[in-house]
Parts: sequence; C-alpha cells; structure tokens
Amino acid sequence: MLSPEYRISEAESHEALKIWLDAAGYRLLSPEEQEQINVLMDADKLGRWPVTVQEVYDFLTQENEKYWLTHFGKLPPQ
Amino acid sequence: MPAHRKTKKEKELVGTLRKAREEARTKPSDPQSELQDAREALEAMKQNMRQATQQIAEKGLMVATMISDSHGKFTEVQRLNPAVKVQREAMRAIKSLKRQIAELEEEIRATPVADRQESVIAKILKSQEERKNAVS
Repeated sequence: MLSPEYRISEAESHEALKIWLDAAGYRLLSPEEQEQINVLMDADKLGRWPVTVQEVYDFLTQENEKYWLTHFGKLPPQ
Repeated sequence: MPAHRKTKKEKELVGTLRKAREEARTKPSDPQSELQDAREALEAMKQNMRQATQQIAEKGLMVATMISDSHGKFTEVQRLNPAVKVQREAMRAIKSLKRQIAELEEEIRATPVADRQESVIAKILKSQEERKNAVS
C-alpha cells in the first residue's frame, strides 16, 4: 500500500506507463503492485508535478462524483 | 536575459543578494528529473562542442566561400568558419548547464533525509525481475 504522503514525480508516472504498456510484464505483478502502477499513471491527470497519492485519490473521487451527478443525478453510493 | 547570472553564493560574496528575490524565485517542481534533463543536455552540448572543434581542426578557422556581387559574378572570399559560432554557443551552454547542475545537486542535498523516499517503481521493477527469473 502506498503511503498517502508519497510524492509521485513525472518521471515515475512515465515509468509506470511503460510497465503498464508491457502487458506480459504487467501480468507478473501482484494485484497490489498493479494498483500502485494505476495510481502512478493516474497522477498524470492532475497536470502538475509532483503530486501526492492522497491528491490523486481526491481527484479520482471528485471525477467519480461528477460522473455520477451528470449521468445519474446523484452521488455514488458509499 | 543576462548571459551570466550570479549564483546565490556569488551575490552573497559581493553583497548584492536580495533575500526577497531569492525566496520568490520559483524552485523546480522535481529536482531529480530536472537534474536528469540537465545532465542529458550537457552531454548533447559536449557532443556539439566536440564536433565543432573537430571541424575547426580539419578546415581551419577561416573557410573559403563563394559570394556573388551585384552583377551576379561569383568571387571566392575567406569567412570565419561557422563551427566557431557553434563552438562558442556550446561553451556558453556547457557553462550554464554545469552551474544549473551544481544548484540542483545542492538543492537535493538540502532536502531533509526524511523527505527522500524510496522509489516505488524501483521496488516494483525489482520484484518483477525476480518473478521473470523464477519463470525462466
């Protein structure tokens, strides 16, 4: 599990994308490591560097809420 | 922009350091990746310098070139080898990049040890490598 304070750099996010693109290598990772790779890649969506893991989670939660409000008119179930 | 910007230490020595200005100066967002970029740029500039120096050694400081006058008549003239300009620019860039690298290294050293985190990517790559070896 990544610490919420862990700072993700641009270089690290790009490295994560490279690992994800290598499908065979990505399958070798444990589910937890795959989750970490996903978070590192999602950091790119914030458009600034460095970002913390917590900031990435907050951003994704906001995006999910926006999606639910637009498509279903309510917040996602907790 | 001035060709030569004094470092903080140089300004302190001559007594022209303005603290407010130093504090306002934007710090690079990620010193590690900035440092890597600066090192790559330095290597590229060194390569330019080597090629320019080699060109000057082969063809000399002055090179013969043809120019046409207002009647369209071509005459041969001696001109400064364009590689001299490339060499001069490369030297200037190398000097500036070395300074930038020194500043970034200083900044990284100044970062508290607690702030320096072990890269999660390095850990993942290591375990991936171990699993690859186990499979093969």
